[in-house]
Amino acid sequence: MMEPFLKHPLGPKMKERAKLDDLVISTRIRLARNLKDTVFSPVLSKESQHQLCQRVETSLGGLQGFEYLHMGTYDVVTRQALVEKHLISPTIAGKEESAVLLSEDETISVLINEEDHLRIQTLLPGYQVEEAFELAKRVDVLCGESLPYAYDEQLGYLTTCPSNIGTGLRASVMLHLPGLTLTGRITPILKELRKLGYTIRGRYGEGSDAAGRLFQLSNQRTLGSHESQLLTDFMEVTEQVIQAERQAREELLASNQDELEDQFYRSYGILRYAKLLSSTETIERLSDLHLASDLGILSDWSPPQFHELIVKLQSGFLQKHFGKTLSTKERDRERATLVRRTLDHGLV
Amino acid sequence: MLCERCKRRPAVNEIQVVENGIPVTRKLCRNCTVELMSGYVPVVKRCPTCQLTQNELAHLRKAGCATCYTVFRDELIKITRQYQQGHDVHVGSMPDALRTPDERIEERLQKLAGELQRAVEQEDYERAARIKKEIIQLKGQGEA
Repeated sequence: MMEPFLKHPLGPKMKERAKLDDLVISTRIRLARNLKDTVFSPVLSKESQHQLCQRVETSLGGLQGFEYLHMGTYDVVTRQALVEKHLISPTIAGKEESAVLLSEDETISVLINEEDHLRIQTLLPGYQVEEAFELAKRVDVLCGESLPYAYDEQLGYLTTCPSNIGTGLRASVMLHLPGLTLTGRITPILKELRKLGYTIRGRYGEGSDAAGRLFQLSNQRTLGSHESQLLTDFMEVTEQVIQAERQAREELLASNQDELEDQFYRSYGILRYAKLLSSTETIERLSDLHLASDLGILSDWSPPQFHELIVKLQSGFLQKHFGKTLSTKERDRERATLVRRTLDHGLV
Repeated sequence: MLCERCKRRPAVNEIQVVENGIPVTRKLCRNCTVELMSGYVPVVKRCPTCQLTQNELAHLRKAGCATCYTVFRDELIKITRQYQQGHDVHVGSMPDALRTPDERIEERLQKLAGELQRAVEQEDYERAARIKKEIIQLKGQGEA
């Protein structure tokens, strides 16, 4: 049953308030796993891919509170909406013979036939690296009980691409960094993070001035350190970025309060009255509202509300909401209408 | 399980080989796999499980299956080092099925050490004390 997952832009857990959620939108952990007795997914024939989906479903399908969704069953827009919710990856959305085992609370996704046979992913609101890892590890142990993992004494868990080998662990956080972006400090920080071996990119693609000033920070190295050490290092780096962002915001507020308020009211005006809104512009304007809320200029606005809107207003989800395919212009019009309606309920 | 060929080293691969003209599946160790491989494919090195060739591997920089990591070990370790900032040894957790009780304790201890460090950094001394207590208990179990 796909419907419950498309009903709301955020899953039940995502709507909850969480640690540092004004700055950290969400935390994601991913573990890459393969089976030793099956050729890796990119090389598998369609038939064998299908068999693998069935095998995993049989092994894990009995899990309480999980739904098995086979991608081939659903249209492109439906799959896109799941990508926008970060419940599946673009890779499996583009593959007929792939599937996901999704927990009802939408915190756990076991992706089947991604680049690796299994990608165990957990998604939690706010800053919850250790919690998300614990959850992923529990699912990993469960999967390992019935599926024979490809594991090498020297190299650890074997993966299709050696960039994921060893622990197979990728931790990532989605950060809202308007302070660093507006003060221009983001560029040297991005450079430094890359030098330290971390990947940071815009939520909607590369570039330092990411749309909505949303950035995804993740570890690059998966081998050579224990999982706990990889996570400790990752959290240390994340917390440094968070601290830099807080400082940048304080300074902005101290020296540029008028400009900030002006920018907020302009964005509010556009969101309130525009007839057509592109996805990128909407996210940028919403980012201004979110910042204004964090700085105390705007009340009656919560981080989950921001998160909900940025998912809800994307193409896939928007089209699911209206139940039909929309042209770009229609999407921009409907998006503007939806934003207007939301703001009509009164934010300031 | 021991290698069906040398009967000395642990079997790490399940490979299709041709014996007396009949294809059979054999559980082999890394050395025997490589030896058999070099005997069977003298010209183009090819993975017997997924059929990936050495050239394809050089181009894709990705493995086709678990056996590739035995057949193209040197090449894949080289690629791994390039991706993993020079690292080529896993020190993290292993599948539960392969772990001894001592290894389970060791892993838990490593995890707790990280948590302890964080608790102290955050000046959460109550949590630190709880973690320390668990570490002492686990160390006792390990020695018992």
